[in-house]
Amino acid sequence: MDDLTREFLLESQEGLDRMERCLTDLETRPGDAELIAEIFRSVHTIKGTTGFLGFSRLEALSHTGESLLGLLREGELTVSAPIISGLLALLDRLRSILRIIEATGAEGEGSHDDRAMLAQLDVLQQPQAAAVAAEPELTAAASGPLAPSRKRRASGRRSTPPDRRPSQGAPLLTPSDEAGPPRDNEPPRRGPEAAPRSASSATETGSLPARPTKELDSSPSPDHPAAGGTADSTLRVDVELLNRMMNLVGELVLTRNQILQATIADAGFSLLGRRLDMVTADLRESVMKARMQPVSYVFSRFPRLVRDLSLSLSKRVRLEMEGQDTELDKSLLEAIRDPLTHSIRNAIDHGIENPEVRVAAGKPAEGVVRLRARHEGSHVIVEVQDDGAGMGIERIRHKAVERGLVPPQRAEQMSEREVLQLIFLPGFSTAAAVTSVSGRGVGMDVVRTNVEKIGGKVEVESQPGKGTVLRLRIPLTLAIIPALIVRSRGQNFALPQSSLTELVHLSTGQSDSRMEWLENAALYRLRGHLLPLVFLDRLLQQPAREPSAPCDIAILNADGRRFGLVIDGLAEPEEIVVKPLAAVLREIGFYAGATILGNGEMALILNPGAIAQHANVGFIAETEKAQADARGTGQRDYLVVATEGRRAALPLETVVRIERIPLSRIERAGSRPVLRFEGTLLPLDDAAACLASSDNNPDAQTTVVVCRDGARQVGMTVSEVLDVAAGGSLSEAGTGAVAGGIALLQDHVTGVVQLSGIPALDTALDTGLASPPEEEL
Amino acid sequence: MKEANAARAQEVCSVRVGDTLYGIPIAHVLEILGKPATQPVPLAPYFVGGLVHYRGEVLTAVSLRRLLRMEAASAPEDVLVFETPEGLFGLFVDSVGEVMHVSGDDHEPNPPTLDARRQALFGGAWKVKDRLLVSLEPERLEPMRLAGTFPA
Repeated sequence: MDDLTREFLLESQEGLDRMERCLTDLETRPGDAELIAEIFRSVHTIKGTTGFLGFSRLEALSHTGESLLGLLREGELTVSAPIISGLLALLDRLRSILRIIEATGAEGEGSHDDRAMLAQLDVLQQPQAAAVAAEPELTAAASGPLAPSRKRRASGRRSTPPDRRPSQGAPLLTPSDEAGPPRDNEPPRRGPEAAPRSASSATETGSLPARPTKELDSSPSPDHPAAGGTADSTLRVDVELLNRMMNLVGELVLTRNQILQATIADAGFSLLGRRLDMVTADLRESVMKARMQPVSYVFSRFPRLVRDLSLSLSKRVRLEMEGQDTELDKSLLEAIRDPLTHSIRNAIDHGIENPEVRVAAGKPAEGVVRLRARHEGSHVIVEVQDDGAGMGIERIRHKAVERGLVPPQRAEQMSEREVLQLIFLPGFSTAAAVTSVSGRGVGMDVVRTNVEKIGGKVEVESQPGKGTVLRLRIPLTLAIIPALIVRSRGQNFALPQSSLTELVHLSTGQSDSRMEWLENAALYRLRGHLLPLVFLDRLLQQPAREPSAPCDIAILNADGRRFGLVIDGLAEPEEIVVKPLAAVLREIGFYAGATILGNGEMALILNPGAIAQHANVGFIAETEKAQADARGTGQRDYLVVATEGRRAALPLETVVRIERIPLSRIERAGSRPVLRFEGTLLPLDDAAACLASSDNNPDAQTTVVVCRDGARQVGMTVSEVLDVAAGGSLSEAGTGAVAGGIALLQDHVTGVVQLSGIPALDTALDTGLASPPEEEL
Repeated sequence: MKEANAARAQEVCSVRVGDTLYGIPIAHVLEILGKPATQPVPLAPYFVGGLVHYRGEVLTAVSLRRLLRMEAASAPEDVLVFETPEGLFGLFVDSVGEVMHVSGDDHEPNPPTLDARRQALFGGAWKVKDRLLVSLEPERLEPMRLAGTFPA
């Protein structure tokens, strides 16, 4: 395929996407002339290019569509439901032809079907025909009986920030205002953009083919509507190239990790290494940014989906969208397209009730499906919420037993939350009737599989009678994640930090005495709660290890399932580049991918959720959670550390990471010590006074606790991390006032570190200039 | 068919596994990795020899020895990298030899006496000077396909 055709395909597909959005908007605002003009331009652009590329099917179709749109634009026809349906059908046909061209390079056969469509479009061009077609006119003022289904997206915005749009006209096209309207006998002075403004006032549109009024020509509305502008500062880049760049950046991160490891000892190199570190981090961020697209790219197809579905199911549904400019990595965006489509189908088919049922239940006849996207930490949350019937817990329980998905006794014991999770099992479907839309039992498990494939999570909440919320939690980037490298039987595995809550080390002898056994189930008592243990070596059928050998327990929280994973030992925490695994290995289920470590070795990335599921780890009981919440007022968990021989406590929820680092990584900004951590600079409190004591030893290491203090992160050097303990505040005798800064931990009164006391960095300081470390240390 | 083969002389990469010499058309071989570091995958299907690092990707490599139910190799193995429509994969062999020219005239189908597993994997053999060169086609070794044809 030559470049010209490829360019044409891209341009046309984008034009058609735009047209689809505008058409569904047009149903809500039938008088909006700008929408008509936009649609006209899309079709016109296609027509113009097809002519000299020699695609005659496309040309004939788009020509007829353009004539129809021309009549609409000039107000000789008014927008009606049959016209919108006709145009949508035309759009689908154009799309399918584009697909054929993309696949084969030629338009393919189909002129017979085309003729039928052309005839239909011709009929629609007769003013009477459109009117006789028996639909009430769609004016904004007259929302007739059909109107509710057309009011969707009332709150939706015309999404898509302008800088992401391609330039309006392809370079090969004449600007649209010179190309002229399709009807040659029109006075030439009327530019295509100005004319349709006549329709902008709904009352004027009536069924009279109103002539455009003069005042509109004076409208300052630009003759070059969306054209130009941002076109010069944006560039169309092949996704393949971006993928390649992302891969290369991944390689660079690996090489950087290797260099950093190899140069730790050499002062001169480590300085260069650190610079490489920063540049790599910046580069990575830029490439990732280049791959970001607003979710509106996926959302934009849903108004049409909701329209078609609700019509075919005779339901009345309004789609509301929020947060459409939330950005997400291109490949992730592609990956959530199908799960979201499934979820919306489900919401309309199973969630939203028929209008009569809704009215009887005291709800508005029109149901609402709300599609919301927002950032939350390192995730993007996409919610599909409906105000439908909700899911009956008992019904799900019953259905799952009936389908043999869970044994009856087990089902009885399940909490509500666990029962809701059952809908994600393959083969689960509660639709009373199998409709063409959904109910074939393949819906939700596909949603979950697809979302988990990209490292995301699916949550569901439902209230009977009120509706259901399905929440997709998508990682911002899928390519690089922080992970802890652990070892089991001589092999490396990577545990995503996102599910790691804490680590427990059991030394020789402790490991068999501190694990408790209930028949063949191993448990660990963590601050009074029994935690189920899963042995990684047994799970993976590796050779068994000595029961008394030292081991570590990684305490994991995978979607609300908490368990301890017993491993042989820990290696470094590392930022790993996730590499996909071949399908045969994905099928094992325990691995989320593989990675190449800084030392050149490979490691399999474990999937804690799948491990929990396999081991039958239950969800944290609601009571336990409630206890934890209740405790929140008086009792907190603290990290107990030793600093210069004194005990100190840090609130556990503020602790981000505990790291053993070489002292050479600590630098000075002015007189204050700072730590370079994950590409940022942290103010450091040298509580352990290790900087003073180890002046002469460049190889010395120290332990740093990185904490969150409000929006910033700070570091604190400690001599030793002692324990995690729960403790309460102390009240002053007599007054009952809560004493600040101390807590009762393990029967010791322990000082609580005031993180806010660590001075902020001088913001005027250029981080790039953080003064040379060696001399001043 | 026979004539078409006869007309076509091709270059094959010879590899050795145990005492047998195999030939793989070089057009299918993307790259040869000499004794790369490998990572075993617990719970993987028996024919998976492990993972190898190839140009920033982590490749799944099939072990011909395991596939043919032979003993594990005593020395590090070489890996051939193949590209199929399903993606890249590797093949562990004892060692990679020279490139040989073979002609369709010398090609014979699998003997009916060969066991079923080998019947399905081998694409006949070429008669070269003093020995046989067993024809291997990468598409038959694609891991997903193997999982379907040779489940444990």
